[in-house]
Amino acid sequence: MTIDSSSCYRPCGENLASTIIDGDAVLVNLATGVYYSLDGAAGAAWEMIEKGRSVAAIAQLLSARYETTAEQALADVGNLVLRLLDENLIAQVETQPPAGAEPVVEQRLPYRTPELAMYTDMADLLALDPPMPGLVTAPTPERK
Amino acid sequence: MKILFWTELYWPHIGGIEVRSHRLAVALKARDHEVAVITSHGNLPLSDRECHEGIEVRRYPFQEALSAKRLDLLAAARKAVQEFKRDFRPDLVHVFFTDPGVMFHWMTHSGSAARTIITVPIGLRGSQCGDGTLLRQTLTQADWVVAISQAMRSDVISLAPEIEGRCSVIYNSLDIGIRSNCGASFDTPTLLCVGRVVREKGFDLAIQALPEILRARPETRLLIAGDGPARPELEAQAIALGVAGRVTFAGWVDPAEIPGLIGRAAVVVVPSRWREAFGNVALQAMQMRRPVIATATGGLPEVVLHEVTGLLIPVDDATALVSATLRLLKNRELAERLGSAGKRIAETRFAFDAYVDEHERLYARMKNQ
Repeated sequence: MTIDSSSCYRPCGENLASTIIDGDAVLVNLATGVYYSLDGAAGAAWEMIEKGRSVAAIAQLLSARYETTAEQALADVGNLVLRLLDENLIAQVETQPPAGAEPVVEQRLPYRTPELAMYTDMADLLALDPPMPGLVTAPTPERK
Repeated sequence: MKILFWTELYWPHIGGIEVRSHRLAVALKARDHEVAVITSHGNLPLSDRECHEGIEVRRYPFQEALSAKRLDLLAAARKAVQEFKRDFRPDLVHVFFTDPGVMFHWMTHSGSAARTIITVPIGLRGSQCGDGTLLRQTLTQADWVVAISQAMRSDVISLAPEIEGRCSVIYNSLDIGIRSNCGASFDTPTLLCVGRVVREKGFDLAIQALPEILRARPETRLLIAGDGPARPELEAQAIALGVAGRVTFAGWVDPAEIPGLIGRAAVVVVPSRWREAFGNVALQAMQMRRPVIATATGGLPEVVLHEVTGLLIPVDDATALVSATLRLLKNRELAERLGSAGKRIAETRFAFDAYVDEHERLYARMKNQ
């Protein structure tokens, strides 16, 4: 599957919650407990997806903000969008009219390929019950 | 060196991992390393930050953020961790991996030169470790993985074979001071089981074995120190077998009192069904010169050497437990020989100074890589 650079996408699903922290995005599927992390350029891309920007516009922003070429950014955003679609985190929406220009960046940042990190085993790890063979654990009061 | 410890719980919590990470941090501080700790509050009303024994301790609500899926808490914790790491500038981060809080480490690690060492202090066999799991990321992205027994190393490598060349064993140690026998009696012998009272610990096997042991040695008592969800079942089992009068359920016991209990026991029994990652109770018994009967599972056979420091029996085998127990109760010389050998091995192979040395060497190697 290839991504049309004029297409626009939006986060989807009522179970999806997300937050942007210092430019990085963290998403959680509230139903499954799966966490996703989008750092650096991927976080910036997510922010633009939330605004309904086209793939081409997102790539343009990345190549302006980070030390990468427009072609590379376009290819990487296309791959990221495919990953997000695979995970049902976004859905295609009607193409939006071009938005105003993003703020000009004075110094471009080092670029790392935008990637989606996912953590599917959080519930399992939360349920890990360390046997603590040996020393017994004190009964503890409820935290106030 | 600047070392950042990362552990789900830390002092004043008193579980095995909490106590060990605390003692290791203090020992490293005494060797002129700068140590800080990132941890959680657990269910104690602890402050978010404090300095304990010269060690900066920061506590964040990782568990609350993740279990309640609270992105506001998650964002705040992530930001605070990032700021603390930026200020502290660790040479390496040593994670005691028991929970998903390690996600906050990876989320704040990008671009950092600090090395990551992961100690796996619990059994992970059967955990899902495919692509997209935090467990896989943690094992494969770590610069080094430490297992606490060869059995656990083998389990970890079976989950992530590619880490074989950067995974080693550092055996647990207990810095409780080596003490002597506190007066164990073989005339009115006590068999001691210590730990969380859950089915997997196999304490029911000790109760099951008791009637036959009592037929040969009617003065024997069984003491179970610890509490847990299986206790009502065990109490009912003791009544059903007619041995309730010979079994004492001590409930939760202050860890400071455990060495005394061990010292007064004729034999310490570790009848676990699950793959114990190590065998802390067995090691404590050895420190106290007590013979151990343990199941041959997980890391236990690396701690309890069969016919040298104790007797190993198959898992889930009450008959073997009867035989092993009676063998020791009837042969005090054998019991004392095993206990003495256990003490020697506890003082050498599992010495706390050696434990600190091994970590220090690993840290230096990682820093210089």
